[in-house]
Amino acid sequence: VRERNLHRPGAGLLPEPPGFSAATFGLLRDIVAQRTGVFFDDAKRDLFADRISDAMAARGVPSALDYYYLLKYDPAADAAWAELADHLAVPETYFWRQAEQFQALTEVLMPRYAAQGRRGVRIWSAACCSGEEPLSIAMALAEGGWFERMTIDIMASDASPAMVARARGGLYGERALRALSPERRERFFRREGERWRIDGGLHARVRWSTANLLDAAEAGPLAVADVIFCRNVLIYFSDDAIRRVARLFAGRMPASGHLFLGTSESLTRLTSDFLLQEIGAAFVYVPNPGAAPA
Amino acid sequence: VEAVLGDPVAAVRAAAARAAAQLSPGDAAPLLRRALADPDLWVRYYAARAIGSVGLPDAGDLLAAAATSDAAVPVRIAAAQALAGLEGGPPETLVALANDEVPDVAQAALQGLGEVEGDEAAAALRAALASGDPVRQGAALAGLDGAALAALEGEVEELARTAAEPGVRESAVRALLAGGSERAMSVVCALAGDPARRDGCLRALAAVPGALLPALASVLRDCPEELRLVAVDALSRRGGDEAYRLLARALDDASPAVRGAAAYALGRADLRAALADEHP
Repeated sequence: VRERNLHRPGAGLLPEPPGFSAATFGLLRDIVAQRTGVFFDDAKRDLFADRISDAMAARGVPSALDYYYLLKYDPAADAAWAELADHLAVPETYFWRQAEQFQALTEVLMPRYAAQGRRGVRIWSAACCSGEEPLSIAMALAEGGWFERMTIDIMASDASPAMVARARGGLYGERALRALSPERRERFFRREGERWRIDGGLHARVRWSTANLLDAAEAGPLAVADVIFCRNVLIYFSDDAIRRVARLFAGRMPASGHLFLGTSESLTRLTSDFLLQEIGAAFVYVPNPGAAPA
Repeated sequence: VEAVLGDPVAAVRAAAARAAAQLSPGDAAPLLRRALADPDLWVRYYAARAIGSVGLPDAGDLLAAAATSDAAVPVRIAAAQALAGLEGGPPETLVALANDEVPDVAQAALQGLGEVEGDEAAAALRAALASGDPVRQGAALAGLDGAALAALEGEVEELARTAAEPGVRESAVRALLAGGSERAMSVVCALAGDPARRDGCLRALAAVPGALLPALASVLRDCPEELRLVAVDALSRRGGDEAYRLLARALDDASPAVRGAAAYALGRADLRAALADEHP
């Protein structure tokens, strides 16, 4: 037996060295980017190793290379991917974040839809995390009285099953409510021990699901929405993944649709599928009628 | 281990297969043969790895059969990798697998062939290096070691100079440096003269293991000025006492440019260890 066989990942004789080899990092980084869109460049190698290590430990997999083969070849790899999505999720969000976009929705877009004689509007929160965004949308629509005037379908999804489960739970810590006025707390929440429970009626207006933005079979049916909020997720994606997501949105949403991104995100450098418009105090992307067909 | 190999939970049996790698060949043999026939692919996967590390008398036959005909790709990969690690193992199976229709199996075989001595292995690797397929080239380069690397140094050098794919060029540079010859070191220093490739080559030079520093020292001693400047830059990036000692020697270089670069590099470092020996 050569010395090298004793050192192979998973050989069982020696402990695994901490971290990844450059080759294994490349394999895992690429397969994760391909499947989820989330891209870790060389500067984020340690962060990626931490996230992957947690997922490996949860599965009891002793080496990163073994984990790569598991994600790629295991007959039940879908479950492993869902677990990994939980480990890759960035749960930092809060209610009423970038509120000017909610105002643009309720004060500009909804009146415009009403003037067009529309009876229903579909809204999709495409990376809903633990639910703060779609519930903020629902609050804004409730405050504007729009639920009484139209049929509004609010869909919310996230790639992480754990995040969607938290959103379905409807229970939030003080930190998630830090941007909410006392009046909104009073109207939409009730205290439950140290935490806050969202109003049941408002919570029931949102349809929750798990969806990978790069999976057309999962995200495509949701992307037919009139308004898509996809905020603070594309910053973690590779340029190629952003283009794929933009193309999916542009191909599925109506020509009159609107796409809200996070303030630090932009499509203009990467794709001509959308044009940027200023609506109210917010910037919003609209499908480019001159773009090449999807 | 024998009892746990009968556990109904596949993950537990897989852990037992890993544990079997720590038994003596005599104790492990019946357990690993049984594990290699387990219905769960990960039990077979770890059994293949363990067979490679324990050194069963018939390991070559067991692993060759698993590498060529197991139904699960990860098992075939693990078997191919373990096969490459067997001392004196015949290369025929790996040579055949190097052209397997499953790319990951072919890559594992190519990578494994880099550890195998002999004309047959070298010929298969030479064909992969000349294939023009960046994936096959990268796999062949990644595993090159010892005699195989020595036999193919010319081909690797050619790829380091001319491959169209930057990743292949960088892999070739790393493979050249892993060989540790003075010639390879000077070739990489010369490639660093190309501004587009300078940073990648310097990164690779700065990362060579300590055992290869004498080869870098030979560049400082024997090569033209432009290569000596690259060596100074690489040593500066590398840091550490041994690199500083070599830089301190370069303070006596005939070239003012090399002396200046060495002085600048040492000026950014902690000089005490270097100067204690070379310039007390």
